[in-house]
Amino acid sequence: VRLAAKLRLGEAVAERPRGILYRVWTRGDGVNEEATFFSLARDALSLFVILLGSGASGVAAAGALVRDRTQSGLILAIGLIVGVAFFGWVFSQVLIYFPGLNPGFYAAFATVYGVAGLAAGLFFARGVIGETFRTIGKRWSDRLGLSIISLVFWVPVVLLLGALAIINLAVPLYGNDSLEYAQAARKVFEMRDLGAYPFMDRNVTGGLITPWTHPPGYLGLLALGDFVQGSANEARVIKLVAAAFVGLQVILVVAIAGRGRVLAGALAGLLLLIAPLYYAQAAESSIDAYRIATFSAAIASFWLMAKSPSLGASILAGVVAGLAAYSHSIGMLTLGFAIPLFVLIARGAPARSALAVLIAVAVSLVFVVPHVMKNLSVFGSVLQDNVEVWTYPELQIDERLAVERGISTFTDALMNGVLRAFTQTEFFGFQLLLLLAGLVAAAWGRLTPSSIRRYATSPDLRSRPLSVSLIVLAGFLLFLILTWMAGSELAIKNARYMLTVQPFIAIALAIVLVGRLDRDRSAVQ
Amino acid sequence: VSEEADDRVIRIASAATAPTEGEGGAGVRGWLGLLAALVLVAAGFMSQARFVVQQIGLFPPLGAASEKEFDRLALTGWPTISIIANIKNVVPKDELTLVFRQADFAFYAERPYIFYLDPTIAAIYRLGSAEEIWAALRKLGVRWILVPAYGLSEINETKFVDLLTDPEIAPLIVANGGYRLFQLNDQRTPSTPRVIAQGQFGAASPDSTGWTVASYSNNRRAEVAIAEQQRSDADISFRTTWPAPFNRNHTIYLSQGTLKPEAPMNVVAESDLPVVEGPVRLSMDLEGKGNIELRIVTGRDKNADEIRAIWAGALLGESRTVKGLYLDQGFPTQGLDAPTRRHRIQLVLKGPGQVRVKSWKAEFLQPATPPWRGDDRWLLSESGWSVGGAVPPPPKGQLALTRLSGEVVQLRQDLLEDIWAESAWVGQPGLYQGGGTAQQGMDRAGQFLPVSAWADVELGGSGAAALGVRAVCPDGRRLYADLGAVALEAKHSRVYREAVLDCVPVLLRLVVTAKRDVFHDTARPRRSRVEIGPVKLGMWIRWSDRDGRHFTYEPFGSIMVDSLLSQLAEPAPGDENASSEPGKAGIAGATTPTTSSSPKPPDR
Repeated sequence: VRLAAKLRLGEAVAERPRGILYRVWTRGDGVNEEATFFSLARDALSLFVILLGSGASGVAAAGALVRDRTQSGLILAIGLIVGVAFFGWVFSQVLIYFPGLNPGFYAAFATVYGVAGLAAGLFFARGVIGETFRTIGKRWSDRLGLSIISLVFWVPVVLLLGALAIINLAVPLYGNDSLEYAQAARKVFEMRDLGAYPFMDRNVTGGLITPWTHPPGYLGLLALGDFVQGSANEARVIKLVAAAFVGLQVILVVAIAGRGRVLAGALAGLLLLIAPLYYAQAAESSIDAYRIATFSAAIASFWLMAKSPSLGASILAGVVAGLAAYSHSIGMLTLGFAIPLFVLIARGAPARSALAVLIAVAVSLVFVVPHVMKNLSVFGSVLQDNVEVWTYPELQIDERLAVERGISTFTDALMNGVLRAFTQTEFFGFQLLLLLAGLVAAAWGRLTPSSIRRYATSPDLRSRPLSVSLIVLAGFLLFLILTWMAGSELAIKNARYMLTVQPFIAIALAIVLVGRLDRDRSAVQ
Repeated sequence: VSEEADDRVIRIASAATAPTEGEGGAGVRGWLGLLAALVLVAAGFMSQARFVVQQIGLFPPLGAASEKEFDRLALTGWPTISIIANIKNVVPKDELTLVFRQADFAFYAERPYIFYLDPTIAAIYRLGSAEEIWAALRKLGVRWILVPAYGLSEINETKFVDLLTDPEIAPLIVANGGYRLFQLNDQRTPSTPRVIAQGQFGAASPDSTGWTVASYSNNRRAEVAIAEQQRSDADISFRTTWPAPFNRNHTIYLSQGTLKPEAPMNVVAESDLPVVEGPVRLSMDLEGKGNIELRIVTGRDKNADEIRAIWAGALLGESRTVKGLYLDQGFPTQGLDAPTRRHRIQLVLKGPGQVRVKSWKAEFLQPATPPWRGDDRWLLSESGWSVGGAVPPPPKGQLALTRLSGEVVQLRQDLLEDIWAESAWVGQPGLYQGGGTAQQGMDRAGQFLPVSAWADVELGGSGAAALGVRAVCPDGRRLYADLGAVALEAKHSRVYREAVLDCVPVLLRLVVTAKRDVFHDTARPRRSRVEIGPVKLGMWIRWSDRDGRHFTYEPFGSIMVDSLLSQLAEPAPGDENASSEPGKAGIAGATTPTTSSSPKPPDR
């Protein structure tokens, strides 16, 4: 309370950024420096090194858990996302269980974690990284013509990623959700305490109320940015977290679609970046890039677990699923998609598979149970936002919101809600429509009983990248339909939820479009 | 496992159009797939590139380092941000605001607030009257209320809607688009409601003429008939006819006058709302289903009307009166070319639905006190100039209007909002000086209308300014005549402008408005700073000789404004006799205009 009182508004702290890792862990606390392009770039670079270091440590850990070197590309991509997301979890745990310490402690912790992670990660992950680049190099030299053509896709990918980073640095925060998150992170930074989240007491926060059930993973990462720049007065480098996850997401998409292929990976990465809503949300520094990256990494890790089952793979899948659940409320449903997928693609004895899933579920619970308990105690529910006013029947809030969102009638809810990825081309582009057309064309005349039987009896066929993507996509659409039929608008009310499977749309479409040309007859996986 | 099997699944997906079968066509289909991919990504990349260019154009990356983030945002003029900028200007740092939108206020406003979903205030939504909510909020220490442009059942379905249309206890202070800031008074300040316009729809009512129903799709006039309208004896109704999702981006407007682009707002429509000065409560009786918005559209300039949502929300088929407040500045924040300010009512149906509109009413709630606290509506500066704007000036601290030297005052825009400085009123004695006696001048002017007001001003600074004269007619009418816009340079130069007036005014004052500067960079408007040097104001009459073929211009009078300032008392605007307290004016030959000697205003 004393701390809260000290942090009341009006006692505006420094007006200007303090910079370099909070003035080397705040021995220079309160020393403001001139804001220059150099200081902004330097803080951005500091954050980048910390994120890279945590990513590298993630790759090393993933490589140690899954020793199958034929999967090194996938391990690398999953490991990067896991590493960064895991650091977000660790940092938020530190802010929950060690609150109120000298701000230098948190900056120092982040620095040490990042630098040590970078050094150790690069050393221990050298096998995975080396193998990945060897594979890529070999594939490129084997198919030089296609590799050169793939530059047509690679160049825009690099340009769009670079532009995104510039936008995130140059454009101040203006999105509703981004601003609320940034304000919550500012409170975490000022109080040096994440234990007070979700914020429900305006006397502590100066007004901020966060009636969400979302776990605090993103807050941890944003607060990290605040500690790096030593000030929460402006958003500045915390906006880069979104761009970082878009970059990691592209790597994952390339790793999945580009297995044994040259063109499809690059194309899938580009297709993801040209999905209008996905890119625009990242440009607004919203949470979506982070939660989607952890979701798709969780799917990929269950896929990996099916391909090379081991105790390590199960643990890795559990960690990623837990981190996905720690990123956002919708991430709590990750296992609901990942486990059915695993059942469809797993080889080997059912008992072993069941054990693998059990281990993964048990591990993932470590990450979410504390927050679930907290939600239950604060809101009395796990997932549903709970606001008292919204329960007043005379306000007819749900009915009127449904009209405002254009999902009030059956057809409206179907077309604007469930099937919005098809109909709202201004948000999703024409990718899903094109994918549908491509699949229909592919199946035309070839969907024979024997081909269906082959697909039904072969987990190997089902675990191809195209098939996995389609299963996830179909599963998500099924989820939308089921929740809608159960009378809930929770899943269809917001276009951003559909973005969850946008990476898999990109992967499937890329393979459908160029997979045939790209096929590597010699590749054995 | 070979890739062969995967290949079967996707065999012709890559080339839906290729009819060839077997291995021979494989290569062709593969390349067709690549071609399709290239077309798709080329189109997608172009659209993303446009997005990137637009973002970076708005926010040049180099500025990110040195300028404050909020300042850069405020330059965009986005309503969500402009309202916060205005709040930072108006709301003292320690006063509590109830916010119906948290994000921007929380991060940028640097003021304490109560979020409308705060569980501790939930009971407030069940209070039975506006007065009770008012009392409860004041008890909590709430002084201000921020309301967003979109509909909220927490307002529309509770007594908040009454509170926010009662300027006696909750006056509207600033509006940016539909984002509005209200202030809670300590006690009720009485006002006198006066209906300034109302109408009944339907074939039988002449009021329903002059209204247009138009439908748009994706901001383009809809070519196809996906909406229909009907006028009955007692109402007018319209609805979308196509099924979802084809009408998702479809909008139907019921508008006074006509809609852009058919007719820009600088064309007068029969049905335009009268201009007053102060809060106006607009209400409309309707029933329907769908997403609706009631708006006031105000002519701002040739390219941009100011659109303010005053009620937004969802109808579920019920019949109700929707109502909201708008603040009429009473003064033409004329654009760079638009001659006058006007308001039109628009009712908008967004997406699917149907609406039946019966009648509407606009009430002017003449305030007994200025719409914001104290008397800082006009910040008087030492030189006799006063300043005003769509945005109230900061409660304390820096002045928008400062004196640079004995002769020059400076008017500075803090935001991208128009802000204007007005000279003191100049009365007839001054205006008719040099053209014989005032009475002679008046008589002659009565014979030879029209009269032109002119201004000769020394201007400098940076950005853009607009000039105008404001006049009070003998019958109490108040006029504004636009004298056009000026691109400012650091070096001062004299600007001469004139405009025809509707009457022979008894009072005249010069108005210099600092506009957002679109002269120098149309993509990125900047704030303007106007340095106003010595001013001459006067009038011309134009008369012809007997055969009506030769015209002569005769100076009617001119005056150095500054020389008058110390001598003329500030009259209450609109008061006919205000200028004419002999002795006080201290100018020889001052006469009191009387009704009998004043010419009747011409009937145009």
